[in-house]
Amino acid sequence: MKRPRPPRTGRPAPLFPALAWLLAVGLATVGLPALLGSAAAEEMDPGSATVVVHPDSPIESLRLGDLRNIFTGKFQTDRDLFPERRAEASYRLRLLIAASAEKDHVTGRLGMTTRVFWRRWVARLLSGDASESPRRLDSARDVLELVARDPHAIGVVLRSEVHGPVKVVTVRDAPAAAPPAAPRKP
Amino acid sequence: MDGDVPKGSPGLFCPPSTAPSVRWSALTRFLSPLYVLLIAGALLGLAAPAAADTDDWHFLGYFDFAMVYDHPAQGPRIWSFHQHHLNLLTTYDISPTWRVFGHVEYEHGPQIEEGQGSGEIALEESWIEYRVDASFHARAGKILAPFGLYNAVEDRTWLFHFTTLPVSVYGKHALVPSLPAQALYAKHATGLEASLAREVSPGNFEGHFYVGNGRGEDPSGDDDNSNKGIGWRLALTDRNERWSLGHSFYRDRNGVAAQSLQTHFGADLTLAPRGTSTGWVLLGECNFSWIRPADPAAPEGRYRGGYADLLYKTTGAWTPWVRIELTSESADRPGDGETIYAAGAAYDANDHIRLKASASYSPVADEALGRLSLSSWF
Repeated sequence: MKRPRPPRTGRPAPLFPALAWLLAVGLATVGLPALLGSAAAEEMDPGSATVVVHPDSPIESLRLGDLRNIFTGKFQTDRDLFPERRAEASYRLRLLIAASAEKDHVTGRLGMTTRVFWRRWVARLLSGDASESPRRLDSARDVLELVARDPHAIGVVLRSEVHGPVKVVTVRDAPAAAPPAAPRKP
Repeated sequence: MDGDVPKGSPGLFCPPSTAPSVRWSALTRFLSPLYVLLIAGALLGLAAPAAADTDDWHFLGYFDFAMVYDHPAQGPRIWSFHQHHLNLLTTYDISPTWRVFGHVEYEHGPQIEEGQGSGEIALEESWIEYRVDASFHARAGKILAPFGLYNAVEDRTWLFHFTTLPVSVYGKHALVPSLPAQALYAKHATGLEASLAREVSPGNFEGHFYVGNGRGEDPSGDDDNSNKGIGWRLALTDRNERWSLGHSFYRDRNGVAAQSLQTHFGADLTLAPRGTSTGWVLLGECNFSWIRPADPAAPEGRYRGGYADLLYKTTGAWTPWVRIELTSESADRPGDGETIYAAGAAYDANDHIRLKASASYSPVADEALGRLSLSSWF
């Protein structure tokens, strides 16, 4: 039970001058750089994460924006990817990420830290905006096996790990791949 | 989860469809209430772990425990343990376009026997959703009203850096002497909600529009006020999430506040120069509210309040923050506004556990509050 507050005395809080001051200070210290875009963007790993789907999947290539929308939960079904197929039977996308490709995919392609990425998904799940988050699997082989079995799955593995009956999806507008590291001098 | 159980196959939730014998009929008569309860329990996240093995059922929840220190101007200093939340959430995907969501809350460690006790058990949310595509979905049922930055995720404290929601926007306020203190908007709305999302040139636009019964004695069952509660929330977010602007509105005739007409405007701003990366974040909300009592002779109540948070997202697990809250005078504090100073930090122990600490002080009320909390989702 909340105790009743004692009677108070004092001057009214200077609400609007204080809010205006806070806004001005905020804009000067953090806002203006943001609005002007002068803050340096986080260095992104170009990454070698590769998107794979079932051979029967209609997905051949994806825009980078669509890939971001899929892996941030905005796109949840094939209707989001192919609006022209609205009359056809729809299905939910299932997302799988190999642990080895997680950082390349999330940081390099989606442009956020893995912590923020998973935190966003928890927020979506807890608020009911999504039913299921991507599954992070330790083994790329498991990702490939599940994708090979499920036409609704979209998997992410390292390029060097791709094998078996899966289809590699081209990601358009992707950041340029990093040049191979120069061999170390003995 | 990759369950191999085909839809509609006989199982825990499929009653037998064969012609019943007398004995079987008696059994089904006995079982049918249990069957209904089990379905309802599963829907509300109370039971049915077996069903969690299918693709369509999804279960999760969250938990909060806190230690609260209250040092009012008068009265003793009190430390309390607080079993705040144990909330269970369930989603069932009926199809790619239809979903049902249930959310049951056990708040303040409820202990209720024969209709008496302490704590609260509540159906926080229950809605069915029709999702056309990423740009439009509609919900029908009991929703958390999308007001301000936090009401739609209120109580999910694992998502916040702070321990409690800012009082200036999310607390109860006495605006008219003849009416009780109340929240500035309805926390829940039982009715319909339509949500839009569009990509626009600076980033992403979201709009949520809802109509519900409005506040009353039984807002999820009967509408006892003379109008409907209506509201919306509009938000524009930069493509790189370096800034976002939001606006909220709510209006209803409050059946538990003498049918007073209440109108609330909210605005919010978030600035994060480095987007989702580490760095400074400034966010704030403000509210403008009017209450017009049903009695035209009674005075109108007005309220202005807001807060600003400055926080720093470190590369590690720490998020320190400071806050200032300002409110205008109110009916229980005539001629007296209030300023509250608060500071705290959140620490992510792992992907599921968040520890938080905060302290706040109100010079006008001469009251200090401290809070340590442990939040988890599962």
